[in-house]
Order: sequence, then C-alpha cells, then structure tokens
Amino acid sequence: MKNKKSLILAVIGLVIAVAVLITVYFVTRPETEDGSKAFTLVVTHSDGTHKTFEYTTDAEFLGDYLVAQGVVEIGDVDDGMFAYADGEKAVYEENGCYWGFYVNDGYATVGLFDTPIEDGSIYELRYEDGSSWS
Amino acid sequence: MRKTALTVAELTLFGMLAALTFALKVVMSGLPNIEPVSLMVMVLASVYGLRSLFPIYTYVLLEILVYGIGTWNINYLYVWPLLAILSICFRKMGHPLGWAILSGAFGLAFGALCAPVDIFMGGWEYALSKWVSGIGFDLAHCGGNFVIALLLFRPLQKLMVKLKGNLRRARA
Repeated sequence: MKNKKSLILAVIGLVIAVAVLITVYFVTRPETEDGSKAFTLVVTHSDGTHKTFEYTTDAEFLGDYLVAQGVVEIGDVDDGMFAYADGEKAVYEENGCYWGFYVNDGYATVGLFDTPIEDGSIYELRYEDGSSWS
Repeated sequence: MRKTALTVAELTLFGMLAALTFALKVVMSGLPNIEPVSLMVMVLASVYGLRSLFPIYTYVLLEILVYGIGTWNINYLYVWPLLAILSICFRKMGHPLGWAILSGAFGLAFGALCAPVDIFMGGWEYALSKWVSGIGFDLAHCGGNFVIALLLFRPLQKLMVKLKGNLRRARA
C-alpha cells in the first residue's frame, strides 16, 4: 500500500515536472512577426574580419531566409546545423570549430533555423574555435 | 564480506556490456535523445551495485575514443554514475513503473545536469540559454526513457541476474 502511494506520488511529480518544462518551453519560444522587417547580419570570420549584410524581408524565420540568400549553406551536417557562412566552413566534427549564433550581442537561446526575424535586430554568426577545449 | 578484485569472467562480461551499450546507442542515434544507455546503466547498477561503474566508465571511454574530446566528456564522467548511484539506492524497487519514472526523470533533468559545466565554460547566462534551448530535447529524452524502461527494464534485469548467477556457478 505504501509502495503504491509512493508510485502514485512519483508519477504526479514527474507529470508536474514535465508540465513545468513544457510551459517554460512555450513561454520562452520567440514568436514570429508579420509584415516587412529590416535586420542586420554580421558574419565574423576566422581571421577576425567582419562582413555586414542588411536585409528587408517578409520572411518569418532567419535560417531559411539566409539559406535562400546564399549567405548560409547547410552542407553535410546534422539537421538544424549549418556548415558555411559567407563561404567559410566551420564544422565541429572536422576541425573543432563552429558558427556561434548571437542575437543583439547576446548568445542565442534557439538555433538559427528556429529564430524568427525581428525588425531592427542584429544577428551575428561568429567563427568560434572549440578545439582549444581539448 | 571481503571485497575481491574483478575476476577474468567479470572483466570480460563488463567489457562486453560496455561495448553492447555503446553499440545500442549508435544503432539508436538516428532518434534524437532516444537512447538505451539510461536503461543499461539502471539494469547494471541494480544488479551489480558499485561494480557497475566498471562497465559504465568503459562505455564513457568508448564514447570519448570514438567521438573525441569536448566539454560533454566532463558531463559524462558524473551524469551516468549519478544515475547508477540512484539506481543502487532504489535497487529494491520492484515495480517497473518506478524504474520508468526514475529513467524518465533522469531524461528530463539531463539538460540541467549538464549545466554546471556550461556555467564554468561560459557563465550562467550561457548555461541558462543552452538549457532553455534544449528543453524540447529533454522532453523527448524523458518520454523515450520512460517507455523504454517500462517495457524493457524487468526483462533485462532478470537476464542480467541470470548472467550473474551463471558467472558465480562457473567460479564455484
């Protein structure tokens, strides 16, 4: 009887924890904006140079739009990732480097392809070297 | 009872179980955050107690040898042993639902468990944003772990107990 009660309490606890995380997920997930939006993309290359792109679009999500513009290429990587930005390749499994994604100077909380385009935002793709962690 | 060193049979078995755990993970790698490692760790820990840390750390070594060095190496050094220790604490738990809940809760907490390393590497803001962005994966991890444990924990545990008994008889 005591064991059954503990199990029921544990199930309830897990369900509550799942509900809380689902709530956090939906509350923190950014929403898309309708209409025309202007934004800036900065690509910081491995040699430290910056290239700036200015865009105006009705597109909803950043990743798909940048791929359509040719500034980002997915390459042969896992879903949700991309290998090339402005022609330069960074694939962690190959050279320990990757493209860090920043939104308005802060590290992005979602990936490039899940980020809705916001009017006036500055997005940055920064070549980062993770191989120094070894 | 006097503690003994690993026998040759145990060494062999633990090596095989570590390799099996790694192979199963590779086979299921196409399913994001659905993995059999949690199940294997729980089964091994519930049957072998602290000695299960041998195959668990052998599995971690295999992961590092194949996938290379990264911050996740540090996570793996404490996350899997933590599940093992929890499983040892609950080893008398008979109901498979209890094990499913433990496995599901572990999957749900996986992102948070990895956060301490991220705090050290990039600060708490980086760790928080990484955890939040991974919540979807943690939810999938929870669901996958729960179902896999509910269906397979008891049959696997019975098999492991039988295997352990066979080893003891072989030594006698």
